[in-house]
Amino acid sequence: MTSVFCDRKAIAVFVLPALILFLVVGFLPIAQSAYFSLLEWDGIGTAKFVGLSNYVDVFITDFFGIKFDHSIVNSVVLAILCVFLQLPAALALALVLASGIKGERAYRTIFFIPVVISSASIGVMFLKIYNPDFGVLNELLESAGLGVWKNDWFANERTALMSALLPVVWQYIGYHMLLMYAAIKGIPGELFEAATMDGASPIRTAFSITLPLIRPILRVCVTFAVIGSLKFFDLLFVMTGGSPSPATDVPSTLMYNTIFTRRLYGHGSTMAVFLVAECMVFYLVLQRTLKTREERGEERR
Amino acid sequence: MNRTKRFGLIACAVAVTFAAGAYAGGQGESKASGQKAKITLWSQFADPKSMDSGAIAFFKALENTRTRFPDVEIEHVGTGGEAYKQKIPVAGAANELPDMFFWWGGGTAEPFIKGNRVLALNDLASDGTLKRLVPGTTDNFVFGDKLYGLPIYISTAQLYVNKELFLNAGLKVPATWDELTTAIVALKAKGIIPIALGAKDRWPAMFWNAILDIRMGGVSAMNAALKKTGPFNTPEFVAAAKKFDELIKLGAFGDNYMGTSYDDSVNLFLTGKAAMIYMGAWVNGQIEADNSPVKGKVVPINVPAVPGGKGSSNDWHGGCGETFFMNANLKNKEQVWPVYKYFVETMAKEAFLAGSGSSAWLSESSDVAKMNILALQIGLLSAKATGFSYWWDQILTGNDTESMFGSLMQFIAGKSSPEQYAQELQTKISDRK
Amino acid sequence: MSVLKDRTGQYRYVAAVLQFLLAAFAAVQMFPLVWLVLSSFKNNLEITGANVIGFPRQWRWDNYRYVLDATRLGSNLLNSLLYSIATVVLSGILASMVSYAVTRMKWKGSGFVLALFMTGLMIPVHATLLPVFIMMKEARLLNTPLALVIPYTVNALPSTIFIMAGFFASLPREMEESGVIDGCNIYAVFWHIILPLLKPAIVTTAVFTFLGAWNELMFANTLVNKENLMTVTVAINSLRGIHFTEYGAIFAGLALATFPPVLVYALFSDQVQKSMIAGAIKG
Repeated sequence: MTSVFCDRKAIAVFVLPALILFLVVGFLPIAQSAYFSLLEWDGIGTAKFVGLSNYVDVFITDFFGIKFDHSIVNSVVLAILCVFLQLPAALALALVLASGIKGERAYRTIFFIPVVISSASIGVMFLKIYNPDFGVLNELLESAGLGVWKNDWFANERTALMSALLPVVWQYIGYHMLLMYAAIKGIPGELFEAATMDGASPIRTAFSITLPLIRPILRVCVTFAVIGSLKFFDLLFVMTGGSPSPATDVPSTLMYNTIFTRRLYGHGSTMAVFLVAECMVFYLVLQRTLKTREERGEERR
Repeated sequence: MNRTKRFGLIACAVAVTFAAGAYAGGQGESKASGQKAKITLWSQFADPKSMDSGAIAFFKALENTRTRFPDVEIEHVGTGGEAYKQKIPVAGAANELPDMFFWWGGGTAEPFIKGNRVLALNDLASDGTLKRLVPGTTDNFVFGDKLYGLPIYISTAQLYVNKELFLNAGLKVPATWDELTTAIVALKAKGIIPIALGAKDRWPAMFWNAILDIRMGGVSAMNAALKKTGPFNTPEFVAAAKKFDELIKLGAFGDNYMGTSYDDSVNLFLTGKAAMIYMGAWVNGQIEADNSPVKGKVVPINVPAVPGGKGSSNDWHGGCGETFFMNANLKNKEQVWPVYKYFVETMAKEAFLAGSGSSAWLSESSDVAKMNILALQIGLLSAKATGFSYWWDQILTGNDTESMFGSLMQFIAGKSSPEQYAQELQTKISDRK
Repeated sequence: MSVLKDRTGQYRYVAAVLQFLLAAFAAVQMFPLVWLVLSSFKNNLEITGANVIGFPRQWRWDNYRYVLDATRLGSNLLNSLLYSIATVVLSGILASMVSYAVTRMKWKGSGFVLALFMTGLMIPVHATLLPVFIMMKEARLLNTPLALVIPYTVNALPSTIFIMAGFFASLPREMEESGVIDGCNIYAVFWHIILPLLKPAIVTTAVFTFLGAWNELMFANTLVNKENLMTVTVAINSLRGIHFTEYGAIFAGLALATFPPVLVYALFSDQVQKSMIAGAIKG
């Protein structure tokens, strides 16, 4: 029987097409970026080989005042917010929806809507909410008598980061919810019936049965949330209008600005290489710490 | 439907897509058969119905050019907004630029010049074209001693004043700097934002910095600093930064200028919440639009001369910075040249009629009866211009522009002093040749 | 399979509170769509400040007329649909094969290959624009649908594989093993047993891949330069000017462009539910 699962020709058929496509179109560009990071290049004319000096400038000297290191901190804050706010919210929703509550289908569609609407609209919408002169938030505060709390949310350094990150956290709740929902639906119904017959409360069922069984997908969600946060681009780019500002910059928007506006391909590629390396580190750490019992068992064997 | 059938159907759909793709690709690759010569043209004007005067001028010129040259097929692809600035450099890097494309002069064109992607026009333009241009309008398109693009229209920035709000506050339209500051204080007391400023988008703040620098240091010092033949940390420029700081502290721009975007600032002006705005002539259309609450209530003026400044109020912030470049690899440039020339001149004329700015081409006077009144008034004002200095973020390279913006935003947020700010510009821009 | 059985009064009370909270959250989630549709009927002054939330003073159907005139929205929608569906199908096929081989088949390089694909999760796509452009140019694929479908597929592979591998981890092996005992070769096992079980993952990833391809702007903007091949995101973005933007028309375009994805999602999330019940029964 095992020979069926070791059929080498089949393995090649299953793996090679995707692998080749990925290596050429996905991996090669990153290798090229790594090469670009050693150059001083404006993207069009001739390039000059400068070795590792771009790395020194991006992380230590920062002659142009790009403040890449600060943006890394911002992205880590986003990752923390996502793991501790976004994912629990998504999980709660998924559990409730998958339990056969009234209106499950409708809610399932509605909760996913922010993910479907392009970041362009959501970004513009939040800018209108945060607008200091006629934004919804300030007007609400004013009419609730809390006018003294009115603020220039985006421009004020103390509130800028949180104001920028909250929409990001909110936008993808539906995404993780769908993943978890699909996973919960994959648990055979008999397990739930047995639990309720034994008198387990819904909360107990959730903790003892559902959560352990969907652990692999939870791991996927955490990985996506963390790596996605480190690399995040879309919504923040729309909300800042592409204008860098240390309070709200994240590595991807800075990289975009460095490559396409400053036309410093060398510096930008350095940032790209860093992002890949950073995500890899986080990925490996997450894989290590979130192993399922089964996988740990397999390793011991 | 069982699974195999459904899969088969999907597979067919995919195959059809690929086939269609290959076919369409094939069409794209082969040259159009027939006698028509083809010119590919890219621009940032994607919306033929746009009310933007530049767009109106462009599409009119395109139509006229197509009529004038029936043997030439002009294939135009328009890409709107910031996306255009991403598309052209990528195409430039891979040497996939079209025959003609819209772009800006100054530092933003440098990568294309250095990379030999665009055609020098000296030989072609020696047929008398240069004599038909207003003097000084090609400055931003000359590198070394080679001309790379023909100018279209002369843009200017001016101070738009809402006469009605001023009248209601008992103020007269300011002619001197002191009258301006008096007005600012009075308007602020009435709860009106004196000057709308969209600092969130950075360049509106740059506009103020630029005009103050021009007022304090004069146009030639400004141009020298921008072209790196002169310093940025002169006493005049430091004084200008101080003046900017004074205005901010006076409350001239309201409390929320840092969080106000460019669109927001125009809106504040159009809805009468702000009494003035210092902006380019492209807003003429919006101000005089039928649904504009301030239609007929606005007058454009020069920013007054600043006491102690070397520049006069006839030094203008503006100039010619937009052009179309021709691809350096053009095989049939002699055939494309007449089309190119005609197109640019027509667009200049149409831009003037649409109220976008004066044409850079000398021409007979045109029918001004239907023109935007603001454009006419600005034309009269700028006829006395003693010099021009163009927008910083076009003359400087992309990298220098970003460095400038970084320092500028820190400065107007109050994080650096005028001296520090001027020194940062010197270090990051002037000292890096 | 209802956990919240209506047995005691306590459960009924909890159910009511839950319904209230769900409805409140649903209102929050619906807000952007409602705002988008309302804004698509306003004029520029209202959108940029005069009347940001709230009903339009006048219902400007003109905005819709504008966007349909100014762009070839019908053809753009079709193009977006074609590219997105092609990406979904291609990436779905490739990813399910790879994730199966990597998690269920035994061979030495499986861990390495999985890790290789996972590096794809870490790639910041914007840095790859220029290299991919040059690649497509050399392959003479610029200005063809493949110029977009291939990069989109490659972008979708890592996350799709990752999700499917996650689903595989929860899948019991008995089914495959019984299939082999019955005499199936590996292809038959994959086709008849694995794929149906994988359906919820396939459907879920199909939704994500579709959305990723549909909403993508940067590559669609640069790699395709023919008007008849343009996607809907590029078309709507083209309504932005540098100094003047017709926001009303843009929102009208966005409203029109949002309906296909919402529809796709509504249909497919139903599939998730149905396929799960079917899969469980078969087991």
